[in-house]
Amino acid sequence: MLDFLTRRTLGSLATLIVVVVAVFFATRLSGNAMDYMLPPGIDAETKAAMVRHFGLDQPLLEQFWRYVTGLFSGDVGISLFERRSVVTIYAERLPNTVMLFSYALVLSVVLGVPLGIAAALNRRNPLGGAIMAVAFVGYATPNFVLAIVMILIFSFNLHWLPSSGDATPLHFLMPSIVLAAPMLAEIVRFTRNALLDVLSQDYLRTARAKGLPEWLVIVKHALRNAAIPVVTIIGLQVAGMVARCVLVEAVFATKGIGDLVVFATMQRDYPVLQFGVILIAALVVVVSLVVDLLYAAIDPRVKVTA
Amino acid sequence: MHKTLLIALATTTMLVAPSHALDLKVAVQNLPATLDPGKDHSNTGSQIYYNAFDPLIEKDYAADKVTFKPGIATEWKQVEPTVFEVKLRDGVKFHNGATVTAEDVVFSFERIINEATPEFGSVKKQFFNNFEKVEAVDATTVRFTTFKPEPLFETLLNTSEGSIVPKAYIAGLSGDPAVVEPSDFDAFGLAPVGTGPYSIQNFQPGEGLTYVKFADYWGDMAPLDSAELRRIPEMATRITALANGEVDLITNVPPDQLATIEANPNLKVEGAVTPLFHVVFFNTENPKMADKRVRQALSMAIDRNLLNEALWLGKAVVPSTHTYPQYGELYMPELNTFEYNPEKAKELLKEAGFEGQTVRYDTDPVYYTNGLLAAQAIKEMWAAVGVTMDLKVDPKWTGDDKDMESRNWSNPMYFADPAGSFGTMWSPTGARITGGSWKPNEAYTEMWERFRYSTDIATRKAAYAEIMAYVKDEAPVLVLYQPYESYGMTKSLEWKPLPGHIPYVLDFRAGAVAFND
Repeated sequence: MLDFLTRRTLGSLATLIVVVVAVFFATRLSGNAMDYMLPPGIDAETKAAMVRHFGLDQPLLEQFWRYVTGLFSGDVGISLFERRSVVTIYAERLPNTVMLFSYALVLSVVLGVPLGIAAALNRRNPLGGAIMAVAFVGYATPNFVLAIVMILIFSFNLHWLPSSGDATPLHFLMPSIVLAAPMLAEIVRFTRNALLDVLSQDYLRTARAKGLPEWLVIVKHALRNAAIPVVTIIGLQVAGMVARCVLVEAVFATKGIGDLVVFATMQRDYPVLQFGVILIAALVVVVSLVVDLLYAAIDPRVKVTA
Repeated sequence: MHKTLLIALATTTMLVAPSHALDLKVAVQNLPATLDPGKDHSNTGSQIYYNAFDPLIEKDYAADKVTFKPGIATEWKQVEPTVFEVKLRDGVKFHNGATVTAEDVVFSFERIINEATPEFGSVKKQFFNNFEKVEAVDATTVRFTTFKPEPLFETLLNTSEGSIVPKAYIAGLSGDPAVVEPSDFDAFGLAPVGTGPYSIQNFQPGEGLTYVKFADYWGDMAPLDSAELRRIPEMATRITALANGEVDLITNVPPDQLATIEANPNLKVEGAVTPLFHVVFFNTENPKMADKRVRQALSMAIDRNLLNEALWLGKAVVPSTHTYPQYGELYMPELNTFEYNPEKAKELLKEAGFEGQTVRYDTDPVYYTNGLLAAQAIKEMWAAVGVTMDLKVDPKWTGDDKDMESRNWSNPMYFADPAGSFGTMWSPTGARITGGSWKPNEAYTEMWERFRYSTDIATRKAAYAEIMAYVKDEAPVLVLYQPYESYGMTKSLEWKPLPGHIPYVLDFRAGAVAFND
């Protein structure tokens, strides 16, 4: 177990190092920050002075060295645009994104697994068909379409929900649903299919034969084995959710990490962008590690030595 | 007796006091990341400063005609052609409680003149290049000295760039509290303090801020208790927030969305043409664009009235030259600098041997309202005279690039004089000339000297006419139109952009805004 953890951590570190190098050089290849940040048509002299002011005229390798040594001393830099610590900016915005993520995750698991079970058990009657139909629509609808349609119905026409912002928990309802929709649909599909797979296995017949009630057969014996693909898909979806967050936060004007990273990309705000990409990469690395560990917890046949 | 008076006074106050707090909620398309009027002349920054900062000299913004009036300065006079003195108002308070001193006034200008950071340098170049020094004569008198006689003193001391800021507060923000360092200005941009009728609270860079009524304001009290601004970048989301009652006022409504808002019985639209021009300019230094006949032809091929009808519902203003009514006596609509003449355009292209060529045209996808649509229409207009447009859509500013051929841009009026709009972009020290896309001749520099520093209106008008005639012949730039800026709001709100302001100012001062419910 320890050996596994050490190796995985080293592997994750290597991934992060590659990310740091790639993001540093890729952002700079994409253009000069001052071409995007300053008002269009500002005089060339001022632009040159600003480039010097931020040290962007120094050789790339030197800038990289400063960045890396800064990283190790806990200094990730100052935003070129906002002129304040990158850490402060992320600290301000992280709670909103974490909240959005948590709501979406809980929503999709709490609804997705039972719906998947119901779809499997009712696979030969209309209920199962209806659940799967809804799941397919949820999966196939692009989330910006879903977002706009929901805003149109619940804000513009019915005036039930606020359309944008993050002042109250109610403001998070629509964004969470939009963010959860594709993940929910995936979980329903995978839970159903995995369950169908195990339902026909011999050991379930044995369980029923020894007199266990049907719900216990499903929950204790079937679901546990069906859980592995479901956990995998949740892990993959969490990584995908980061990307979807960008869009959801933009449409609902939620001040979160996604919105920040997009804005930083457009402005070429290197320090903010670099930290954001590293943060997201770290999140994905941690989630995939947790998923691997969960396999072992769920299925005793999986040993964490590989 | 005293008691009776007090009770009477209390009762009157209660009667006068509004029954509920007046809070305005505004959704804007964009907000600046830092707030310092002295180093910012961006379109996003222009929205913000006037509510929280005061210039030395004020102006009647509701009037078309320029009338200056006392601000932080109660009186001012030109003691010599190059010396200007202002008397400061007593007891003007900053939002942090400090009193405005002559030292604060000197500091507010010195940081620009001495280029405390490159951004101040940029403002100096556009506004205060003629200012040599600023000094305190005594506790209430400040003297400005210029290199050359300055006909625009009042105009320049009325700009938001010339707003008064607190020296001691700024110096104390970072590092040594006794010394003003560049990092102090970064910190001030995040926690700005001015003297205006509203203080700025809860500023979240690029995202939101709250104006709160400043009880110690020296002038007319703010009509609102607070005004909350937040950024909603998506236009559809802004309109929904307005329709849903989440906000009272939204900015940047494109013309094709006006009908949606007007159809809602609870909402209305206000708007005005903005003192800003959308322009097309050419890189005369690129060999391909070097022949002025080509540039003249490409300008003449553009039917600006058709663009106005199609993209702005006819609400924009298509000018004959680079001029605004706000210039007062220097408003010169009689000049004929830009014209539509596709037949002449074809002839010129034939003469220049330019038929069948391709010209690159760059535009940002969203920065200028209708910018991309206009580019697509211009592509057809150029095709009609035999030139193919290679349209490049990119948010990168390409105006200074050697291989740039043509692109769009905006020319805002920074202050109400040709020097504050055409001059900041196109004078010999303007951004386009230093950016290298046009190299006018020596005579042009002489015309500008005469125009900029003469104190005689007739001489200035004659010089500007010469400048425009030269621009017409050289054709480095074509003014498309003055865009019509629209705002959506709830029916109960009384607000509209005032004609005396520079573009985009959200003025919530006394007399400029009210709720009528």
